[in-house]
Amino acid sequence: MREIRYDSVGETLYTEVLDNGLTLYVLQKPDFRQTYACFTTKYGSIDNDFVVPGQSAVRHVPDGIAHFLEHKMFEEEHGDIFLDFAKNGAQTNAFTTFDSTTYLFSSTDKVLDSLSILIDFVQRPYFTDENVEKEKGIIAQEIRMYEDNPFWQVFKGLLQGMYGQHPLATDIAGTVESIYQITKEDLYDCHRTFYHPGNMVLFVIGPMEPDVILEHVVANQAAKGYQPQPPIVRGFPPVPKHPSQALRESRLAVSQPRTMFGFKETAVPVTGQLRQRHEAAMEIALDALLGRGAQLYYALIDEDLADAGFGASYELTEYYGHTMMGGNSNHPEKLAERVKSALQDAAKNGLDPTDFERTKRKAIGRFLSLMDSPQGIANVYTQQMLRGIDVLTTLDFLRVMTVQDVNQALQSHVRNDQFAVSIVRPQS
Amino acid sequence: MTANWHSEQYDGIHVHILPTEKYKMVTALATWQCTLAEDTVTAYSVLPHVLLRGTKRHPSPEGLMRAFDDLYGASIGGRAVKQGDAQTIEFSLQCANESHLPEAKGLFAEAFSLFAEVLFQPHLLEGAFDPKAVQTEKMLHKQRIENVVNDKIAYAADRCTQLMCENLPYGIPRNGYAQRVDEITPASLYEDYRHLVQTHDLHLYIVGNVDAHVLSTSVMQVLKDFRSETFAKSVADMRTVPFNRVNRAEPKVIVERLDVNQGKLNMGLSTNASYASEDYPALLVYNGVLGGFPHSKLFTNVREKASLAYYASSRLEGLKGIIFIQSGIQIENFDQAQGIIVEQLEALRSGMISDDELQFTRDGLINQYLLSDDQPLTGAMLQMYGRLSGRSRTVPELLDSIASVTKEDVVRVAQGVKLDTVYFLRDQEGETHA
Repeated sequence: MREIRYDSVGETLYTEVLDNGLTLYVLQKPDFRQTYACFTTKYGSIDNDFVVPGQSAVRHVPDGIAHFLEHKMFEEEHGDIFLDFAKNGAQTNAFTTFDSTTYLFSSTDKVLDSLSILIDFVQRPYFTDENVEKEKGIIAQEIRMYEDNPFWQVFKGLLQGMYGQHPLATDIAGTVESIYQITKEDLYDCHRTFYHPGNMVLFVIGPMEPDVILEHVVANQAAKGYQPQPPIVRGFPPVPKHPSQALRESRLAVSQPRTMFGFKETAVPVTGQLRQRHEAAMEIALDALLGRGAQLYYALIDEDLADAGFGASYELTEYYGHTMMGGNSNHPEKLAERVKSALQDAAKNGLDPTDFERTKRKAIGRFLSLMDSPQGIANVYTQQMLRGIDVLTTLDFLRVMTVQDVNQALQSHVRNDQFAVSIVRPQS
Repeated sequence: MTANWHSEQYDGIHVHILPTEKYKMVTALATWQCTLAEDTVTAYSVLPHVLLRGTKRHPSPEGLMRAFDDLYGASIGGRAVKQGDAQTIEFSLQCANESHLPEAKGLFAEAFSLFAEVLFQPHLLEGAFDPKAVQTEKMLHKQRIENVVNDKIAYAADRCTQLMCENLPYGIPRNGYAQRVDEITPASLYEDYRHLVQTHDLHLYIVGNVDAHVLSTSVMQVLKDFRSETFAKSVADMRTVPFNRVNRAEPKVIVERLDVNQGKLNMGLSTNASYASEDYPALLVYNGVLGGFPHSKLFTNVREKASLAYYASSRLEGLKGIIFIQSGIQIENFDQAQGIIVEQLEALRSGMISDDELQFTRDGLINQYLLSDDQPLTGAMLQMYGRLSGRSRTVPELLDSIASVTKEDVVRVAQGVKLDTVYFLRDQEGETHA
């Protein structure tokens, strides 16, 4: 296996691409009791148009199908996969994002057997008309649960404001209407297209020797006779340049309005390294300007515009980027306006160099805490790797970052016409 | 697993240090325990927020946070927590280990000193807390109490607890009461703070790559330097009384209405066991077979077989010996869901527990306790439960006792389980408006 040493965080990662295209990562944590493994496909809620291998036309599938497929993988002809893991005393779960689906387990015993269960069930679809139908009631309740959740609704509203009809703005779980259109044929097509080992990453972290894991995974895959697959053709529509709606509002049974707002990135840097630098710079900028060490954070509370839960985050992928800021507020429009103009001022005048140095040092120390969470390392590394970024080099990027880098990132990000606001208000 | 805690005591201060090279961060937890009571719950819930607003040396909140940021982002958190019949006031500190930051020698010592400042040297004006800080935190706290309704899952769980434990300490809302916030003044809150610090034991836990002997001496010295008076030892008995069942012929059923899309069905079950009793391991297994895992009866029957819910599970409140069931369902399916849940309680009572259910649950619980050993503060939590229940348990003891639970043990526990309270949060449909 190829060995990658990350001296700045004191970790060593082992990796190998198997003959069938599967990428394996192993990170050894000798002092930890648990082994955590996650098996991820680069396939999420935005992948609704694609060409099924062996066919020529672009296939369109209903919204929410990646998440539906994630649920359905847990059912097999011989029964429920939860029970197979339970036999080993292991915990299992799965989650779907915009651009990935992850299956995982954590366990302290019979690790290699659980690893086989994980790989095997994800690579062995079993869908029937009956089991597909049965899942619809369950997922419908999952969707209803989110409908009542103001945190989720305000987030969804901002995505809709920024991305309009683009798949980025559709709910990961779909709608009750869209999931009722899903058939077992749709699910098989999605599985065939996106669950080939060449589109997947397996990350294992725990006390075991990396070579033992490699040998086990190689033997498992060799027995399955996968042939290499050509690159997947995805019909991902272009991301709109500007927000489609500057303000979106909805109502829920809540005690206080909740708001989220942010700038949509105008142009996304083309390489992973550039994105990694831009993302780190934006995170420092947001923390310096709006974090708990910022005067503005307390001013917003004193002016009755925000509460202690006010926060800001930044996300950047090869397709899109945006800031998301906000929280509970008695005056959501005022809050959005106040924060927007503070960011515009900062973009114009630049950050205070002392604030920059302080937040940079903070970012370095905080990043180390990720290393104490096996699940955190595996999930974050995989997500970012699929986006072309090696997250374990973060400290190297941070150490050389300058205030100019941050000011530049801010200037390119903060654009008046890229701003959108979402508000959830109490029912009148 | 053999946690080698290095413990020292001075007056009412207890310092416990666990040196380990496992973590890249050093974690500290300081905790006071006090009695959970209607008269004090609200002020004690506000207190940690006010203490985080400034110290003698850093009187403004941003100044204080910047001082932590400067220490490679050492992070401090403070909160009041309901634990059985006690309320704990907790402060936590997380700090990067200096061995990974060559330019940061003495980082933890500095961070700890700042942490102790927050606990013992608050920013004062004329012998009381800063009125502006108190005013702001009172307003935020009132809103915090009112905002509980925004998360319907948490809200329904809180309501079920309050209704089941009406007139008992455990029924007191964890953040206290909105109307009691108004009574708090900078002087009254400072009095409460002094009462807490002077008459309650402080337990301090530190876990990380540290030298226990050196650190224990320096930490004790820092604490002694900060104290202005003697720290007395606690006299109050903080032990939780297990839930005493009310003999109801029928369970108490409460339906509440809000504009919601999904109904929340919550149930409270009384039991004959709790953290301190011999049957606690069997109670853990009972809860696991009922609803603690995806292989459990609730998940299997409410979700997988009947497709009624996305989540259907149970949670054991060990100190009180209460089991809470929670599920989100379509509103029309209330009777059906309730019927299926009651059937599962009956099945357990009549001994319908398969070998697989028993084995999977014991192994699942053992796995959970082993996983918890990868969290720095697990040992601290278990010690706290020990103090609050009067019965101390360690991870190795729990592992052994869970492994030896038999079906008979679980059935014995099942026969002492009684459905006490049914809470249903539903929409406004069919409600007649006057």
